[in-house]
Amino acid sequence: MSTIVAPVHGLELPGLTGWLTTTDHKRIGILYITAAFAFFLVGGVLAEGMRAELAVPGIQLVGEQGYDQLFTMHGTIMLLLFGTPMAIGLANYVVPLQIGTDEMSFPRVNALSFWMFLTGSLIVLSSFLVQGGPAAIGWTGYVPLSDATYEPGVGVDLWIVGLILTGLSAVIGAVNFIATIYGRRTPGMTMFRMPIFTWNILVTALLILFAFPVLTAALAMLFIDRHLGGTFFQPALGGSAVLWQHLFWFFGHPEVYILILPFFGVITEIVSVFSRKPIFGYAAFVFATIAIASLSMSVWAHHMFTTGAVSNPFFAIASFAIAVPTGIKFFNWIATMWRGHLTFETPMLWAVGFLYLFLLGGITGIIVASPALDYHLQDTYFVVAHFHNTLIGGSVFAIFAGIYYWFPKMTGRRLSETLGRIQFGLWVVGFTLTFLPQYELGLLGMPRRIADYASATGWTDLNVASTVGAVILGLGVVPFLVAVGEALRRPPDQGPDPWGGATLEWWADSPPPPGNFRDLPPVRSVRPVFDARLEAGGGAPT
Amino acid sequence: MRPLGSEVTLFARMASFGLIVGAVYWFLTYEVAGTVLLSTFGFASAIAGIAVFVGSRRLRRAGAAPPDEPATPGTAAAEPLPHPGWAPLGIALGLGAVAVGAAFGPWLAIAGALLAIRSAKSWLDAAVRETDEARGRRDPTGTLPED
Repeated sequence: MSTIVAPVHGLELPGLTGWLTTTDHKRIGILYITAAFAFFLVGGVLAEGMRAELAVPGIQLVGEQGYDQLFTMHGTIMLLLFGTPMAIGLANYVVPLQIGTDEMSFPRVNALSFWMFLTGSLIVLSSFLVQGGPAAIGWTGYVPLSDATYEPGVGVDLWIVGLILTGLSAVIGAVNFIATIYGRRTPGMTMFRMPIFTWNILVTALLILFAFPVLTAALAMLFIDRHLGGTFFQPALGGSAVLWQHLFWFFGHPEVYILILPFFGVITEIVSVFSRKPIFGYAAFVFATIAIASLSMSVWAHHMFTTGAVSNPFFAIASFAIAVPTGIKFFNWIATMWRGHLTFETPMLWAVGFLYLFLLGGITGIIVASPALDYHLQDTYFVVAHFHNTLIGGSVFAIFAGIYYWFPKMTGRRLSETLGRIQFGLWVVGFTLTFLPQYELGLLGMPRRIADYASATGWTDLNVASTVGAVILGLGVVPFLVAVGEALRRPPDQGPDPWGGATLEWWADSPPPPGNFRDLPPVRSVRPVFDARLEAGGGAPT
Repeated sequence: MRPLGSEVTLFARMASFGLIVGAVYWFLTYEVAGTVLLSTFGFASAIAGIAVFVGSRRLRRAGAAPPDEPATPGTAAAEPLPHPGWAPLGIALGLGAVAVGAAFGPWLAIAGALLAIRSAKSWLDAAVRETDEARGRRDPTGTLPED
């Protein structure tokens, strides 16, 4: 055991001022997580509104324009104001701990990144308050729908400038993560001794660095088209509407992996800890992550097969290829669990749920990556079901896994196992009931982004089932909120390592003090805390 | 010759991928937008890799332990970390006002720009003060750097 010299830390101010002025990565992580979760609740309410509208034929609640606004804001919020910042929040809290450092490389820039994200997000949401309401252009913002002719309202402008701010925030956050992981690892922590979660955050940060500036540039071009006489996306004036799709999806498809790679990391950590085994195929995990990220930069136009303006074979082959490294990860997760001493506390339950549901999302992804099938399924509910299978069954299940897993580290308190199991049960049932019918609806030809359908189509029963599932999903959030409230009322009672973890965050106190560590074990492998426990005669918990 | 660190090879792999796939894409499709995007991804990765390579060489010459050295019991040098401050929040609010000003009018953008500039100055002042403190030229105080 060796003691690190306590670094010189700035003052932590008390109360609300402390949170508003903080540069501590742990507090900023909690701010990100809290804000992102609040946006998740808003996006969830919008989704319930959509499902209520679609439950039966006819226009009941919001009308067609209102429905367009609902799905636009739901998609924008869930992808850009919830998923991405939730990953950044978890990373903010966990990565410096996992690499044995006391702070991010640029703490003040880290704070700036959060406040820019929050400001941009609130600007996007403020569009609910302006005349004409929020944007009704889909989260993809396709032109000409988003140009000034069809959407002259200020809601679209707020959507554009808000997302520019959140995009800039993500980029400076990514730079900070790369600098921190490259420059602040504790001695002995080589790149190939880093925890898989940290590896995945590094690769995700690189993806953000290359993908988000493209979105920011595209949004700026759209704003110029709308207000400053630009013609980038106007074919009649020499521009190209397809150019928007190229730019948007060159960001948009890596964004899907920005939303899933961090959570692959979460699942890897949890599967290993609750199997009481080292990760099977550590290097394969790392190279699979890099391969997925690289390939994700070359598949953007599989969203554009039916435009007739792209090379369908090129993008189909590249999209199929992503299944290979993803499959490697799946086999490695299963091999990690194989013959382990498995226990099924709440984080592991969510992880197993992830494996089951994300696999369905991945397989249906291969289906829509085939141009011949995509021509039939494009813009149907099959696609809606597919991406919710990856983003809820994948990302959101892993987010809950991660929160249940690291909550004791963040607060010194464990979330209720009983409430966690109830929530998990509701979410598995609710998710399955919501989205499996949508696959069938898609195969039957129900288009996405419609507020109404004729009763003669025969889609009503499946839509009713989907809406009931959505209600169960919504109810499933309640046990989580109760569990958090109940836990925070209790005094902290958790030690540094409640789960028997092996990576450095489990060496620090729960919650970690300013500076994070009183001392650090020597880092000689990817499991330094396990090594230290072994040296002390403890071994692995069973 | 010392092999390139994992940090550099990561960027090198991404650069190779972007440039090779960009070239293949061009000859298969002759489509400009995608070719530019893929090539830029490759070139940007190459530039980042070179920057990391040069930076790590400088660190080695300066005697700073490279992170890929074999494990040694952990010791870390003391270093100053920033005090809490209002500057990040101020800059973010200022930029937010600039952004909203683009939609509602220049008066808001001007006010936002002034707030952002004022906050950026606070940031700079605080950074200078903390550097002085670290070098022992000034005693730390309990007040906010912007105060």
